[in-house]
Amino acid sequence: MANHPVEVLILTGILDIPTDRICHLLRKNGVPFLRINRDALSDVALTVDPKAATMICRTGGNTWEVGSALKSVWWRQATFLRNTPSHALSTSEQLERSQWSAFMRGMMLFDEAVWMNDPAATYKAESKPYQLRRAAKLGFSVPKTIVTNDPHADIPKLVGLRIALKSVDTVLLHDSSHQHFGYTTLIDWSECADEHFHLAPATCQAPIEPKLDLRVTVLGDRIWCDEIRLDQGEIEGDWRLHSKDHLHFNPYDLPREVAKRCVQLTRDLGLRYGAIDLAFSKETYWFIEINPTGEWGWLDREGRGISEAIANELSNPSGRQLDA
Amino acid sequence: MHILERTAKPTKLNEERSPEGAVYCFEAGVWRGAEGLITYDPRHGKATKKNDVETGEDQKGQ
Repeated sequence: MANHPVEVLILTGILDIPTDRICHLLRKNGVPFLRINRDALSDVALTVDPKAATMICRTGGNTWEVGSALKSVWWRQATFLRNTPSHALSTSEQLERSQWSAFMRGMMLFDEAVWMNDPAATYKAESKPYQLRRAAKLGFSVPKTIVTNDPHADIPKLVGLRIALKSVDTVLLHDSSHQHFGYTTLIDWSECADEHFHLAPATCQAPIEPKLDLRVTVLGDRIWCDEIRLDQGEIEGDWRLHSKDHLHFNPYDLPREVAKRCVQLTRDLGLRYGAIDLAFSKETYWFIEINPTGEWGWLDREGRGISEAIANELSNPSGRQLDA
Repeated sequence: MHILERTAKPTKLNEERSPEGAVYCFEAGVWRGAEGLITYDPRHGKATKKNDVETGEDQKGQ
């Protein structure tokens, strides 16, 4: 039976395939790591001693020891549930769901390791109204935004007649046969303010048109910026609504002060990693949102070095925890 | 129906499945196919493209 003292702990899902690259690089560099997948937790035997800050993981004749050798934790998940199940959960399913979620959050007991990102900071930074406020305070251009459930709110005056309608948090709904995902919708306010509008808050934002969508991947002081184009053209509305086959991602040279602000915002939110969406329109870089668990694999083309930088940061974390 | 519900895009519910022809290695933390690591294989959409244009990024489910 082999024993492995762990230096890097990766907390993710089994289908987070881009994270395979991080594991591959860590292994190649001889860095002892343990990847635990939230959707396969019961396949392994896990034993935690909270006082001593240790965890034993056993499977397939191998044992991993997480303890004083731990340098860093890669937290690759949102901090609360968004996927409402499409069927009533059995009591066993409810138990497994609630207890394993709490177990994963309990990994915060490894408080002497460097977290990328800290779950508490992630929780806070996932709030869209909060991140808009922080971005505005740091000097980002932020579109006029009102969050309301009031059908009588004067949105035409406060934002405009035509709005970019967004949810306050990800909308991912399930019925028995379909899932329903909420994208940004360009729409007239008059179509929104009906007798049902008061039932849930919505985000009404000034649309940015025309625009060039930009994704900024931030890791510590480093950034990678990509423009997103539709067959070499700009995109109206939400680019995710377009077929992947027609989307193009190209490196984009962000002005120094905007790049610096992206790093500042990430740090301001207590994050080491962040995926920021900007929109460039009429000489202005608009802040759209930041995602603390944003994906990077789709931008990690050969030579870009994003995975390598993440693996290096986990192997040799720079400095202590950030203040959230 | 609320406008956010009315404008949400429906897609047929399908369970997330393991990559075809690949096996997960717990010790290495990777999926391997017949030709090696699928994370570097562009034929696997999840490996290199934004993996969930239909349902939102970042595996926000849980």
